[in-house]
Amino acid sequence: MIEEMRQHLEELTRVNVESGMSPEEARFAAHRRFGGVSQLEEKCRDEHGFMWVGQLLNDFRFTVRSLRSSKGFTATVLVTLILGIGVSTAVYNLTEASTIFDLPYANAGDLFRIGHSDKRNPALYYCPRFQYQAYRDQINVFSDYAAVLPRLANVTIHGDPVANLLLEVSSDCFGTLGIKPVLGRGFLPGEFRAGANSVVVISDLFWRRYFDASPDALGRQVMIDQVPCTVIGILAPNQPFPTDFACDVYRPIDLSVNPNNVFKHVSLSVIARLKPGVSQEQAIAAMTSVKLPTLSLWASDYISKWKPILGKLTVIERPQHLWVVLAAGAFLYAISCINLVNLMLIRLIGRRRELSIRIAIGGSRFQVIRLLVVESVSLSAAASLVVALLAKFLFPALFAAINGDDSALFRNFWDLGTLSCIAGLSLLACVGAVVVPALGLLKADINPGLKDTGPTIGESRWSGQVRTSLIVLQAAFAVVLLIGTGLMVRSFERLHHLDLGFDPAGKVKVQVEAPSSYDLTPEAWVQLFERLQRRLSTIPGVRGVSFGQDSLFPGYFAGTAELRIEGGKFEQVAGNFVSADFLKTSGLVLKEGRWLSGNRGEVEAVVNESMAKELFGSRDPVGLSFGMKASGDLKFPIVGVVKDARDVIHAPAGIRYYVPNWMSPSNIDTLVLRLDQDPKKEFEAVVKKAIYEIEPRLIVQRVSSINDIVGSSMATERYAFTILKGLAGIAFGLTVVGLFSVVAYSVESRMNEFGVRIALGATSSDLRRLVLSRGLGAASLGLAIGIAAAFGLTRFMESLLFETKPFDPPVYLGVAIILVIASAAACWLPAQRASRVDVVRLLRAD
Amino acid sequence: MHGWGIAQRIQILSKDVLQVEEGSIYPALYRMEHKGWIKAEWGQSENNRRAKFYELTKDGRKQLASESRDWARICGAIRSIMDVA
Repeated sequence: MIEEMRQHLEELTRVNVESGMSPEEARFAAHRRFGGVSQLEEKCRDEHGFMWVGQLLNDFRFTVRSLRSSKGFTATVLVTLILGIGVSTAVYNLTEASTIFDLPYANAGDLFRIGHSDKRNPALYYCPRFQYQAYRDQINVFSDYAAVLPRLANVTIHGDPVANLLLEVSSDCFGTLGIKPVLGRGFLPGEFRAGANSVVVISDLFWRRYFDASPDALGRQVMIDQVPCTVIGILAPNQPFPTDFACDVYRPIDLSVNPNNVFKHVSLSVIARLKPGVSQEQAIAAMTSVKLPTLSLWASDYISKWKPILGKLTVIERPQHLWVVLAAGAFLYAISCINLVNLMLIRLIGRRRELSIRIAIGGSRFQVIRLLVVESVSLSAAASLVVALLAKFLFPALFAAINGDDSALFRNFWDLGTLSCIAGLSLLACVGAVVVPALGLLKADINPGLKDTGPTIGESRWSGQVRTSLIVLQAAFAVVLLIGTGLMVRSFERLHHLDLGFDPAGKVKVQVEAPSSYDLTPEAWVQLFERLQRRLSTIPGVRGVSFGQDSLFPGYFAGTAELRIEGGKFEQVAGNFVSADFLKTSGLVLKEGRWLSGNRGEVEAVVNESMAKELFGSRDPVGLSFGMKASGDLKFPIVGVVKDARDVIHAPAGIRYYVPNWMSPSNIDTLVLRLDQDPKKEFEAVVKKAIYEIEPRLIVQRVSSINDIVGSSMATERYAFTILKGLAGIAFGLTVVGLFSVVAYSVESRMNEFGVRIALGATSSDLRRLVLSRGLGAASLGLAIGIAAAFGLTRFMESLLFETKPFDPPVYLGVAIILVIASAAACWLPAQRASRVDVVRLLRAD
Repeated sequence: MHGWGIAQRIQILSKDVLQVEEGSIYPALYRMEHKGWIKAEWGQSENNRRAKFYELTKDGRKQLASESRDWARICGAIRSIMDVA
């Protein structure tokens, strides 16, 4: 094209020369007629699509420069964004929110849990083996099955116990759920029988924890109940599993059933896929019609009362506390977005002069908005990058601290869900940060911005209103979060002052179970516990060991005995078999009489205060006795009364009695250890090792201090509380900063007005009042809205509260006071500044 | 037809009424080529020089037809207004 134009010019020159001009003159005339060559070239370049890239780069360079020059603004925006996006991403991961939207199994809509209902339970999702096999063999309504059988087993690596639960899976289990090991292989059809099933697939977490994520783990061995099993496959990180299907160690199931023992291992969890075109009703009808093998009389009587049911896999029961946490995360995100919008508005007003000039010299409003877009995108991209890095390097430690378990340390947070969550949240923030200021920009009048002195009456009315309403909204969100947290504080205060009725400090409960293959006479079982008792007593720090039935927080009180008090009728009362030294090791408080003597053959009983009061009224129970239906004519003389000990946090103690453990050796399964103080983490391994030395086949179900059990029985509350505390703190901080920035900015831009006011006779305290009343007005309006919203919303967290009503006046009042004080503090500095306005200087400047 | 020719033709056909900067037809040509209304090819001009020859494409003809229709309509409208005045 350049050549074309050159030729054209030459042609023109030639024509001019022919018409008699001098060559010099002809060239000038030709150029005059043709127009500016470089301008024309530029015009052509404008036609190119690539122009915007260059402009964008320019905008980007300009943005970086201008952001660098206003460091305070940039830092505040980045911190706001990082807090908002980072915290919401953490909440997204903590609540596993991704599963709300999507279940990652192929055609999850056709998958159903198989279970039954009976008189007491509307839904029990387990199947006895024979029933599962009857479904597989006899009916034709399901196309695929996935079944797992949880089994208690001692899993050890190099003699160290590492797990006590494994899942035995059906041959089609992984296939139906679409689970594939990422390393190694799944199970082969030939491996699903006894003898061939010494192979395991392990979870990613197990692999990272015990094999240091080394690929050499394949082919290595773990011992399951002393049988060496080879690791053949490793599952994906964060592999999703339906409830009851998640575990660290998987092994092929052996479905050969001992017909004499139909209820051994009853709880197979089964998921099945409905065949296309088969309705749920048809499937249930088919399930009802199956013929079960001949069972013993009581078993068939029991099972005949079951009604088969199907539970849709896509319907996930999400515990309430997760919703509360999720909502809190959303609130915090909203607060930080509001802060962001406010900051962007302030910046825009600060740059009004520059932007007015841009528009005045021919820049279109669109170009200015483009600048705004580039700026928000750059800021949120930078924030996302930081959040992504935090997710990689900080989340594992943070999650481990919040969850109180180290499995998060082995988790990789850089998965699709987390990264798209970060991207989505930052994009959303970006949209907010562009749209609101852009609206203001389209409305803006450029004239005042161009004037030397700027507006004398403060910020524009529109933007002032927008910014104030944003602050009101922000305060309202923060108030809801604060009230929610306040309610949890109250609830925990009550929990901590709760008297358990015994002293839990330094008490450790050790529960063991014999594997199914283990056969011992009752005498041998007691002797085993006596050996365990002697061995555990030698552990440094252990002051005493007792054994018996599990009867300390929460205790096994489900099986209730029928008691008859002095010729009355039989009543169901819960009791336990314990030893003579249980009183000392458990920390129970003796109120009257004495504790059990522990002498073999001496039948005696101790009751708690509730039982004494309930069954004997005002009479002194010591010296009286009761009979037990199962023990015939045997009388249990009452020798003492102990203080009620709670066995759950949320309810007062029930009616309890204690009888000697030698009367029922088969009920013995728990050792209680007394230490001077709660043990350290390593204690568990020491105890497990000691038990392993005495009897390697024993499965240690739990070694935990009573205080830990008490703590973990409030785990959901504590979990929600920990997160809420953090979120409310951040929200509060952001709101105060937001309020401060709004008030401070409006003071700054109204300085001239204040000067005029002073000149007209206002005192400095008038000005201070003016500023304070505006800030506090916004805060109080937010407070009112927030309280109204909290009133409606906190009822959703009722189940998390312990003896605390969702409307707890002290909490509401406390939050109101805190917010008002904080707002006053946030407005105080700007108000001070307003009151110290230098009239002379300001008036002279105009 | 090449750029120089087009410029001369416009001047002659408009009987010197339309006197634009002759260079400005090049961005216009460029734009039209970009939009696919005309296509261009290098060739020999009458006086044996290399020149770029432009030709209307099918799309270009369509566009021309619609533009002429619009133009005729506007002209007609203006004329009838002027007639009344």
